[in-house]
Formats: sequence, C-alpha cells, structure tokens
Amino acid sequence: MSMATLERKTKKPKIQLGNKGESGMFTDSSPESRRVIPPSQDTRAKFKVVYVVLESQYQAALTQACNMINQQQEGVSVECVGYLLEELRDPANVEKFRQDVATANVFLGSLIFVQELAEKVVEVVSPLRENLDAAVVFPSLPEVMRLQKLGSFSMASMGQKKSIIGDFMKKQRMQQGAKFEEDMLKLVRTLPEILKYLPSDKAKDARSFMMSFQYWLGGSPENLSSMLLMLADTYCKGIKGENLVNKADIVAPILLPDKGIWHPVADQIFDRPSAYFEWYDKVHCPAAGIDVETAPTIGILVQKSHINTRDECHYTALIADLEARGARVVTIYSGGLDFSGPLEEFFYLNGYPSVDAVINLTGFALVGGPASQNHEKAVKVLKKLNRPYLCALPLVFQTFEEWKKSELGLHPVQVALQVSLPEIDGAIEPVIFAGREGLTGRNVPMSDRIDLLAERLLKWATLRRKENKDKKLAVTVFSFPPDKGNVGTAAYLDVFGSIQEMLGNLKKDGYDMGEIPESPEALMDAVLHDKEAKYDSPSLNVAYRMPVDEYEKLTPYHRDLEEAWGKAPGNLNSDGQNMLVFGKQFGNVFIGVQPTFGYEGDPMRLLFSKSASPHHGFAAYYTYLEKIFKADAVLHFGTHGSLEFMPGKQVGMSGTCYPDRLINSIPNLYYYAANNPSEATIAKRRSYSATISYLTPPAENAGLYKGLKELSELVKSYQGLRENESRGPSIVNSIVASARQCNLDKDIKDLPADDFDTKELSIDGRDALVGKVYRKLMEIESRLLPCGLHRIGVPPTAAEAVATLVQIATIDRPDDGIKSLPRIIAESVGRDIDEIYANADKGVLDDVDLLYRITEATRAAVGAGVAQSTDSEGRVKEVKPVFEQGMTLLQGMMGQASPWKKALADSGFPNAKEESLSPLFEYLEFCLKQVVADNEMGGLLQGLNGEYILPGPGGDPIRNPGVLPTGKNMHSLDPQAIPTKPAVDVAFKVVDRLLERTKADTGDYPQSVAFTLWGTDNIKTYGESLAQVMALVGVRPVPDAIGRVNKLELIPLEELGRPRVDVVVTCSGIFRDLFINQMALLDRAVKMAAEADEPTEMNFVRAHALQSAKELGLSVRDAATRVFSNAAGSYSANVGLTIENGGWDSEQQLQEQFLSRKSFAFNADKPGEMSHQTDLFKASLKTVDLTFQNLDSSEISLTDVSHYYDSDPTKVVQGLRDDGRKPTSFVADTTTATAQVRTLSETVRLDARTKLLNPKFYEGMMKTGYEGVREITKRLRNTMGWSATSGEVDNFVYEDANDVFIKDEAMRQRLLETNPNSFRDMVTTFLEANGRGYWDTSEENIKLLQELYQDVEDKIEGVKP
Amino acid sequence: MTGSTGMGVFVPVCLNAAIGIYLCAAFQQLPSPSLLSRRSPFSSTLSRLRTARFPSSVALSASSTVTDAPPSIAPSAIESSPLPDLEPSKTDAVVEVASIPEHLPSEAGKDYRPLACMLAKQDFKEADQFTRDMLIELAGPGAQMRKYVYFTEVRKIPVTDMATIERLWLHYSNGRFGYSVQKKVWKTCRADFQTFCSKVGWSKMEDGIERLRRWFGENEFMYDLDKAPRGHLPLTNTLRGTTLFKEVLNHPAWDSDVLQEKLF
Repeated sequence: MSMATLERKTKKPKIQLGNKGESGMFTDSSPESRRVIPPSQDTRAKFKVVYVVLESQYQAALTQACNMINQQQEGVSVECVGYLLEELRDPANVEKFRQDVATANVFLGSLIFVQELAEKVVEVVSPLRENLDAAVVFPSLPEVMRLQKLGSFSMASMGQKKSIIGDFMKKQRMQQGAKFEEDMLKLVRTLPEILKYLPSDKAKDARSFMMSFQYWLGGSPENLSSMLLMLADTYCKGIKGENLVNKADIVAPILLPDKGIWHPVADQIFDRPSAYFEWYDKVHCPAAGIDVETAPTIGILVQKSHINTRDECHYTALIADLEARGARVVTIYSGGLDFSGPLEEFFYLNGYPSVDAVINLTGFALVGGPASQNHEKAVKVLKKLNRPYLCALPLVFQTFEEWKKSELGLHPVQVALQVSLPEIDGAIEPVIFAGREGLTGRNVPMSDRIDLLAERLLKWATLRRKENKDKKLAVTVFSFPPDKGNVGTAAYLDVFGSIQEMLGNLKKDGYDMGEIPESPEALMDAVLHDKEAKYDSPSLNVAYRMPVDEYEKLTPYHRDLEEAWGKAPGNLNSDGQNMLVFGKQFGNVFIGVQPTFGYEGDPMRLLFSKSASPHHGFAAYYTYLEKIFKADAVLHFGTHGSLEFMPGKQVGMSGTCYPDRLINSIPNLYYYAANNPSEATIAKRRSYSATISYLTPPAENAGLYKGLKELSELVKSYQGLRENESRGPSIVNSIVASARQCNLDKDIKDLPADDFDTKELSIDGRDALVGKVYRKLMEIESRLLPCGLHRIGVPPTAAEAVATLVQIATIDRPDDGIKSLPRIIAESVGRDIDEIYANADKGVLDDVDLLYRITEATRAAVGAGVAQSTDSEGRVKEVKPVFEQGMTLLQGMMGQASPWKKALADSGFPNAKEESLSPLFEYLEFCLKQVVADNEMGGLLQGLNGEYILPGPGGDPIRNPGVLPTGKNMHSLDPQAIPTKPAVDVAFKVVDRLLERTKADTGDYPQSVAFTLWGTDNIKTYGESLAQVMALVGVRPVPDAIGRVNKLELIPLEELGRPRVDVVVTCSGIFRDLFINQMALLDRAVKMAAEADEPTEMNFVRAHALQSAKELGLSVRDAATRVFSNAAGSYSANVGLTIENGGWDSEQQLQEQFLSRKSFAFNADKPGEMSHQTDLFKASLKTVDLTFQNLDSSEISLTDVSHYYDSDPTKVVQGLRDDGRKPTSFVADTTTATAQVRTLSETVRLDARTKLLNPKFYEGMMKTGYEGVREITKRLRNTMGWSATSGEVDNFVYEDANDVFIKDEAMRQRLLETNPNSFRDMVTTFLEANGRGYWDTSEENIKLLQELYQDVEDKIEGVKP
Repeated sequence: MTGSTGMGVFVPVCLNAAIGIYLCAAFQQLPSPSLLSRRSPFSSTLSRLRTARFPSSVALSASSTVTDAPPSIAPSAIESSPLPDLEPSKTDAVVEVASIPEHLPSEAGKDYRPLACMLAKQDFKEADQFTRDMLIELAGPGAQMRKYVYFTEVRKIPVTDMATIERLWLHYSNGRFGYSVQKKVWKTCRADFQTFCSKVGWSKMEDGIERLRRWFGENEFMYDLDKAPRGHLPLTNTLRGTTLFKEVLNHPAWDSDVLQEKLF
C-alpha cells in the first residue's frame, strides 16, 4: 500500500464549518475538522495531544506531523486535536476543549495573548493540569505560561514575583519593546548547549522545554513530529521508559537561520543582500524578464513561521504578481518579533537603501508583533530608510466567506492588533491580502487584493523614481453641503489660500505647473468660474466631459450603481449626455471638486442610506483621476471628504467596498486637521490615505464686547466703591439691570428683580451678587475660540503662538515635574490655585478678582517669552533659544531677571519662584519650537517624493504637545490602552460632580443617563468618557499583565456608596470603527452590573434589565443591552444633514431618523455583528432622566459642528418617556483646567456669546472672506439644530444674531458680497427658525428677512446685478 | 456519452486492445479481466508513474502535500496534487478508437498517449491531473523540486508540447475544454479573474457569497462535458495567485500555427 493510500485511510477530512450564523461570531471554523485519529484497531501505544494556538499556520503543520507519526512509528500513535484561540469564544467549543484536555496527555499553547480567552484556557486546563503528562506553553500571557508542566520544570512564579520571563513581560513595555521575544530566542539558542552537559533532572526538564521551543520555532512538520515524539518518549505514561518510540525519528531541530532573505524560487536562504542580488539580478531577473536597470524594487517583510511551516502561498502570490509587473523584490523574514534589525541589515546595499517601497505582510507592528511594541524603535529605522511603508494583513480569525459576508469586515481583535498598532509605526494601507482556508487552515491569497497591492506598491515606488516635472498630481477639494458657497470646505482651513501656497512650493520643487494664478481669489475664480452660480450647474469649471460609453468602459463597477441611481449619466455631475468632472488643470496639477454624496436632500435616502452607493458622477470623478488624467497621486485637501465615508466594510475593505473601488490604485495623501485623529484614522483605513496633519487655528480668549464689556466695567468700578454706602448699592443696581439686559438672568438664577434695591442687602450680600456676575463674565471672557482659518505653510503670528502657549502653560504636568503658571503665581502670593478656582466658581468676589489678575499675568508672562522670537512682521519663524546651557544660570548669577519674571512683576506678582518658572518656560520654548517647526508643506512634498511621512498622534496640542509639529501621518492610539488610570480618576470625579449636582437639583440620583461617545474625545482624553460610563454603573477597568485594559471588576455597593446608575450609550460611527473592543468592555460592564445580585433600589441597571427582560421576553443578560451605534459602515444619525438641508417636516421625523439609525446594538457575547434592536433601544431610552455629553476641545464646541446635536437624544427621550418629561441635559466641559459640568442650555448660551454673537469671532471670520461667511452661517444653522433636537436655545440668541447680521445694513451688505450663497442660507435659517417656532420675533424683522431673501435670490439667479 | 455523438465507432477498451490500435493500457500490465472491474486503469498507471518519480523519502513529503495541501479553495494545481481517488471508473468505458493519433509530437520527449487515452475515455479528472503533472515536468527541475510551477518557468515549455496537449483537449472535448478556450473567455472578461471564474464555473454562489470551488474535502469541480461550462478544464492552480494562470494563457502556443496543424 502506498503512503498516499494509507493517508487517505487515516485522515478523512470532513467539511464541517461549525454552526453557521448561530454563534454570531466571526470564527465559524470547527476544531473537529483538524482532528487526527490513529487508524482504527490500532494496537500501538497511543498518546493524545491538544493544542490551542493563535497562529493558524501551525494547524496544517501539526496535522502533517501527526500523520507522519501515525505512518512511521511502529510502537506509538497519536491522536491530535487543535483549537484556534478565537474558537474558544463559543461555549460549545470550550466544552469540547474541556473534554479533550481531560483525556489528553500533552497540552500545547502558543501566543495566547487575548485576555478573556486566556482566562478560558486557564479555567479549563488548570484543574486538569494534574492529570496531564506534559503541558508546554510558548509565549503567552503569564497566567497561561504558569500552566507549564514538564516534569519538575514549571513557571509557577511567572508574573507573580520576580522571574526572568515575568520581568520581560511586565510594565516597561515601551522601553523593553520586543525584548521579551528576543531574549527568549537568545535563551533558546544558547541554553540547550549548556543544558546538555547538566546531568540533573531539573536541567533535563528545562532542556525539554527549550528543545520544544526550538522545534516549535522550527515549525516544519518534521520538527513538530520530533517534538511530539520527544515529549511522548520523555513524559507520557505508558510510553516513557518503554522504548516504544523509534528514536531515529527524533532528529535535532532543523532550523532555518533566524533571519534572512527568502525567495520562493531560490534554493537557499541568503544571509547577505549582496549574495541575494548576485543571484537575483544575474539569474532570476533575466529569467523573469525583469529589467534590473529600471525596475523598481519592493521590500517585503514576512513571518518566519510561514516559511517554516511551508504556509507561504500568500507571500509567493504577491512576489509573483510584482515580478510579473516587472518589479524586483527583496523578501526578508525574521523569527523574532523585532524586524528593525533585519530591515537595517537587508534593505540596504552598499550603505544605500535598495528598496523603493516596503510592505510588511505580517500585519504586525514592526517591533514587537502582538506582544509588546516599541514604536519609537520602529519609527527610527523606518525614518532612516525613508520609504513608503505599507502593512497588509491576512485574515486570521475569519474564513473568506465570513469576512466577505461581514459588514464590520475585519475581526475586532485583528483590528486592534494588526491595524491600530502598525499605524503607530506609520504604516499605511491595511489591505487584507490573504486568508485562512476553512478546511486546512492554510493561508491563501486573494487574487484581487494581491493585484491591488501590487499596483499600489508600484505607484508608490514610481513616485520615488519619477522626476517631479513628469508627476501628475490631482488635488481634490470637498464641497459640502452641496452648494457653491461651500466648495473648498475643510475644517479650519483656508483651502484656496493653502492651495495657492502649495502650488508655489510645488513649482519650486520642479513640478510642471503651467500658469499659477496670482492670488487665492484668482485661483478660486478659475475653479469656481462663477462664484454665484449654483453648485451643480455646469458653470462650475468643467475640466472634462466624459461620454457615457467611456465612463462605462473605464468603470468596471458602474452597473452596481444602477440600483440606486439608474443608468448613467443620471442628473448629478452630468449634462444629460456626458459625465462632468469639475475643476481646473494647471500644468500637471489638477484641482478638482469632489462630487457630493448626492442624496443630501432626499429624506428616504438619509434614513436608509446604509446600502446606498456613490452616484455615477462620483464614480466618474475618480475614474477620471485614475484612468484619464492618470494621476500619480491624489491629494485630498482638508478635513473631511466623502470618499472615506462611502458604503463598505468598516475596516478591511473588499473589492466591492466603494472607498476601495473609487481610490483603486492611486496613492492617496490627505491633509487632515490635527485635532481630528479619529476621522483621519477612518480615512487611512477606508480610503488608504497617508494623512498629513495640519494645525487648527490657535484659540484665543473670547473677550467681552458690547453690553458684556460695559457690565465688566461696572463690576470693576464697584470694586473701588463697594464700601461707599450710597454709590455702592447704586452701582450694584446698575449691574443687576445690565446683567438682565445681557440675559445673564438665565444663568444666575437668584439675580434680584429689576425693582429690587440692593441697598437692602449687606455689603457681603452685594459682594456675593457682584461676584456671581463677575464670575459669569470671566467665564465668557476666558472661553477659548479659534480665530480665523489656518493656512498651510505660513508661520504663526506672535499672537497666535502666545494664545497656544498660554493654554499649554495652564496645565499642570506632574509627570514632567512642571507646574502650571497659574499655580506658580498663586503660590507666589501664598495661595493654592485649586482653592481659588473653587471659590471663583462660587462667586467669592476677591478670588474672582484674583483669578482674573492671575490670568492676565499668565498672558503677560508668556507674551514676554514669545516676544523674544517675534520678527518684525509679528510672526514667529524661528525660536530664539533662551535656554541654552548655562544661560539662565548666568543671568541668575548676574541678578538679571528673565523676561517672564519681569512681566509677572509688572502684573503685580513679583515673588514667583524662578526655579518653578524655569522648567515651565523651558518646556514652553520647546513647544514653541514645535509649533514653528510645522512640516505641513514638507510632509506633502515627502509623500509625493515617495518618502516615509513621519507618524505622530493626533489630538489636542494643548494636552499633548506630541501632536506637534504638524505635518505628520496621524494615528489614533492603541485602543487597548484606554481608559488609562488618570483618565479613570478624572472620570470618576466628573461623574461624582454630575451626580451631586443632580441630587442637589432634584433630590434624587438619576435612574438612567443617556451618553454619547465620540472617537476623538476618547483619543484626546485617553478614554475619559468611556470611563465615565463605567463609573456610573460602578465598574472599574483593570489592566492585564501587560498593561492592556481587558478586564473589569464590580465595585461593591458599600464602596460605591450610591446606587448603580443605568446608562444608554450611543456611540458615534467613528467610535465604533476605532474602539469596538471598548464597546465590548462597556457592554460587559453593563451586563456585570445587571447580573449582580443586589437590591434593585440600589442597582438601577438591574431594575431596568429585569423589567425589560419581562416585557420583551429576554434573558436579563440580553435585556441589559445598552451599547448602541450605527449599522456597520454607516455613520451619524443624519439629523445634521437633514437640518442643514432644511428638508424635514416635523421633529418627529428627526427623532425617527435618530432611532432607526442609532439602534444597532453591540453584544460582547456576539462581537461579530451589530444587530438592529430598536425595541431595546427605545426601552432603555424610556427610563433616561438625564442626557450627557463631553466637550473635549475649545475648537470644536456645540455649535461648531453638527454632530453634537445630530446625536442628541433629548427630545427623543421626552417622546418616549411615559411622563413625557424632558430629561435634563448636561454637558461636561473638560477643556479648561477645572472640569465643569453645565446644563446644555447654559452651554448653548455660552457658546452663542463667545462665538456667534461675539465680534471677535465673526469679524475674525469675515477677514478670511468667502469661507468665513460660510463658517458664521454654519454656527447659526447648528444653533437651530439644537432647537430642533433639544429645545434648549433661548430666544435672545436668535434675536441678537438677527441684530448683528441682518439689521445692521453695513454688515449684511458685506456678507452678501463676500459669499452670496452662504448669506442666502443664513437668511433662510432665520426664516426657518421663526417658521418652526424656535424664534419669536417682530413682524418687522420677518418682513426684512423675506425681502432680503428675494433680493439675494435674484442676485444669485442673475436677475439683479 | 455526448462526446460520442457523430464521432465514429465506439468500442469497449478491451475490444480496442483486441483490434490492436493504440492500447491505452499498454503502459501497464495487459488489461486482464480486471479491466472490466470498477477500477480505472489509469489511476494505477499514474500512481506508479508518480511513485517512480519520487524516491521514497520524497514520496512521503509529496504525499503529505497531498492531504494537507490547501487548494480546496481554488482550481488546483499545476502542482503535485492529490492522487485521484480510486473511484469507480465508468463501467461502460469506451474509447473512440479511431481518435487516438499515432503521432503526438513532443520536443521535450514526453509521451502524451496516456493523456490521449484518458481524454478519449472522457476521463477528464484523470486527464486534468495528468496535464498539471506534465506541466510541472515540462517546467524543469526547479518546478519538480518545488512541486509547483513558478510563472517564469511557463515560457520555457516548448510550443510543440503545449500545442499537443491543447489539441488533445480541444479534440476530445469538442472544443469546449482547453487553455485556448480559456484564453478566449478571459478576453471577454476584460482580464478580470473573478468574472472569469464565474464564467468558467470555477466559483459558485453559496449563501449569497460567491466563492471559489473547493478541491479538497469534496472536489467540487465538474469533470463532465455536459455539466461543465465552456473553459472549465483544465484547472490551473491559483493558490499562489493568478500570475501563473495568466502566464499560461500567455503562452505562445495558443497563437501559434502549430495549434492549427492536424493531429488526427
């Protein structure tokens, strides 16, 4: 009988892919399919092996190893069954696993690094460990490592007390990075040699472990067979000592070198690049038809274990595809998890980089793999190599079919490990290029993804090799909402000014630019043609008319768009016969206008847009860029566009996802606002962009104006006259009257009536009253607002720099030993700043005043510092170093005071301590350098040169100056790192404050709080709002052994000291995309609370869950579903869109939209899907008596963007509650040093006063012209959004706004002339606010608005000049 | 059998032998009565050929590639792939007597008579396997060691041999199977592999998802002239991407005049 026949008999593969769909999990594969059983009637001594691994590539190799044993051995046979780690999420599999371990002789585990699954493994194996003959665990979490059992060898102390391995894994993740793995390898390499000569049993067992590890790392079926036979021979009952194993088959581990250059066709591993190229260039390339002289070279990183286990088909596929396209490749592997060394060793030839682009096919971070990363080290070597760095990944936990079917796309665990972490290294383009074949577990390539990657890699490489004068660049500007007044929209960016700046720089760099327009206005005119025309009319400049047949020929997926849009050309971006591409070409640079979604005005689509596709015009635009204009790269100009939000999977695009189809092969660069890392991350993952961050304009103090300014003068004069019996009270009377005029009575509840004479109050009473007014004024005055728009490539003005640094100076940084400037100043007068803040909050007049003086002194001191580096134009181009070594010391010795010390003295604080000031100002100087060192233009030029764009975090430069300098490829953070300990501390404080305030106001704790979670918010605060949710339900996050947040513990009621408050969490679509593991954590927290056996009056979560379990016929666990978001691949409630377009009838419609789009529940028990649970969503919202959101930054406040009200459930809850009561809405403001909790209406008023109604704001906006007018209109429209969703906007806000912008004739003329389209929107919004009953005003006002509407309409239509 | 329609005389294999025209079975023991048993003679031929090809130690790894090779996703292998199952051959196995040509040109010195017999017998599964195995041999020692063809080796395969193989396929499938047939379909798909797969039936719909047919476990391909779409056979492995497949379609043989020369 031939071997083959024998095999067929011993192993009969069954196709069994688990119970499809029922588990709700990604992994539908079944361990049964990989069970190897010895032939029946086998009389040999049998041993049984059970394994759990993360790396599926071991599956096939182990199966082969067992088959070999069963065929070759005469005395022993083996039964083997394996579990892929993720399969243990299924309780049925855990049960089978338990049964298998119970009858097993040997247990094997490897890379068990997922906390909750590690716990399951330990739970099963630990009690059965006694009966096992051997348990061998390769690198895993410490608790799993402790299962180790080889005779006397164990790792019982692992992670508990000091031990070699425990030390590697613990804490110092950042410093140690991949050291653990490296050290293990070193150990493995050296130990066996030493141990061989040690006779003791102990050494024998330790040696067995090390040998096993070597075999394991060797990975081939032969090695694994030797390992199993060795283990059986040494440890297994009934086999050991019986001489049953044919020892000839236990051969020494056959190991490939730890690292090397590999090629599928070469018959050896190369240990030097010169040797490789000697063979490659002289033998292989000629045979493959590759022109060595001109071919671009792609560096590829692969995992050694795939080479070992001969599971390398997916690697070979990409290599072959690249070579078939005429490229050279250098493929390197490493056995360890640190690729930095091999990269430096093998990607250079004679000291120069030998590659034009690099792709990492392991899907892991460059240094540290899945265990502990060292991003700094990775960035260092990548920066030195300076090439585009892509990181693609194979599916690990899903089969192709599972992934294809999934709307979420890639499994969340893989997203966390293999998308988020590589991004921190600066990796781009997380394309899934291969997957596991369900039956054999082997990796097979996805042909269309391989093609895509090869094409994209070659284009990146081409950017490096092509001369600038020949490169074609497509610049895409956004236009939203789809109106001409909005072309070139980007958050905080002066788009046309910046493009103008960019064109100049490109020209200098040798690009063929043709004629550059002489000014931003001229540029805008060239693109818009006629500013006043309606957007979708053909009078936007048409760059290209694409006949329908050409469009259809070049757009392979055009038929798929017909379902939603009918046949091409349709009526968007079309003239009825041709597809129209809008824009203007200057030499080799095309500036195009991105088409809009197309369904903005269509209520049905807004409600159900989940399955919508881009329209033909949209597709035609990108077809034009790729196939007709033939762009070498596209640059999307500014935050944000439509491309990255097109329908498709969340992460891990397939070839049918629209972002993927649209961008196809073009390298994509994207200017994104530094304060928006979350959306930037979406752009990176879904539209394959390398982002380049830009600074948002610095925030300045709002200041006071008009009535508020007069009021503040009154307050100041009171301070001199307060003791004057007659004048004191009369000034207070005036203060009261003008405070009322300024509508401050809305904020100061006990403001006396107008006819009340304050003479009747004591002087303390009057002080208290004035203190409250003063405090309110200060709150408005010191509120920060971004002024103007940022222009890329222009250094900041001194005033801008001061504004930024003042904010940086206001934050204590205990980790760096830096005190905030206000704290230092307070200390200089013997006070504690926290106390001053608290007193000022209460309205203690003296402290309000002191705080005011401290704030002024802070500004003066920082100003004095910046003045050192300000040039004659009032800009800071480079920073004059004051802190050069010894200089300050010298100054101190010479008795010279620093400029800031002088400034403080001049402001009345002469005693601030230099030793506190020095570290702070040194830090500020560093920050100033970072602000000035922006690389925004540089980042673009680097990207276009095919270089590596330095990665960096996005977020708030004030909190995290690491965001600076801008011009970086932005990333989010390691999702498993949040919430951090400090974030948890702050969160518990905020929650306490919220609950105290509610208890004080209503006498009770709230039953349930509706929460909105934002991606950016949580990135900036390291998960504060996430932790707030946990605080409410009384659960604490606990970091695991390597510092990741995966565990939770219930805080006992006695420690909590209050009831557990229920929550309803609505996550933004972006939060869902970035933090799906944290959604799981929240869901588990809620379920934990619901299942706690506690009295329901102390546990509202449980009370509500019991109730809805009964009503809806669910288990308590399922009824405790509180974490909701959009359907996968869909974003926002679209309420904002609807309001921006005015296309809605009643608030009911908005609420239904919210309920239908936001009611997709996340369930930690079934993490693979978002299930539509409108009933549960409604049921849980019904009990809400408080709604809550966080404000994380001054530049994005309530009326700056639409998404805060878009997701506000206030009126929705009111509609659902049995008593019809409107819930109280609170907003936590963590933008200032003292976190404030205010009601929504307070916050809306504050926002209106500091922005919309504040001359400093609107005049600043007007200065930037066209875009500025649009910004003002946007604030008004967003204000009306709040009326619609919450009803928390005071009438005076509209009234005052109308006074400022409409009644003032000069003002309205300016608006009309600068941006007629936006002005028309403004007029419409006022009329709409009145029509919908949000604004009650005079007939006269309405009449004026109606007339203006007609005028501006005529003007736009060209009826009137 | 549809292949027989209007195509001359069909006789059982044993008669074939008796008549003394090319004996398909001539490569093995003379067809004994066992020939009429339910076992395909060519399976064992191939087993022998294959065993002969690999020294026994290699045969081990070759056979392990067999069971654990991954190709269940894709039309498998110009690669050493599973030995055909010892499945019952058609009991009424007949061979188109007149159809096995005397001269099957080979520049590489290969013998294509087994292929001709398999095809004549309409045993497409065997023929398919034979073809892939042969391509590995034709591709040279590198491919034989590796057990698959790297795309760069395809151009080394002589036009003569490719054309002979192709002409056999074309002839016995009435022009429905063959690389040149696939090339025509490929062109109509605008070189899109997925479209191609659905056209030639290499993929199928399952639960609303289009997936490639499986090779392992249960072989899902169609070795039947009636059921299989045009261009379904021969299969080419896409386990290592589509480069190899594209290169095969690019072989000069399909456009060469040799292909037009009559074999029969």
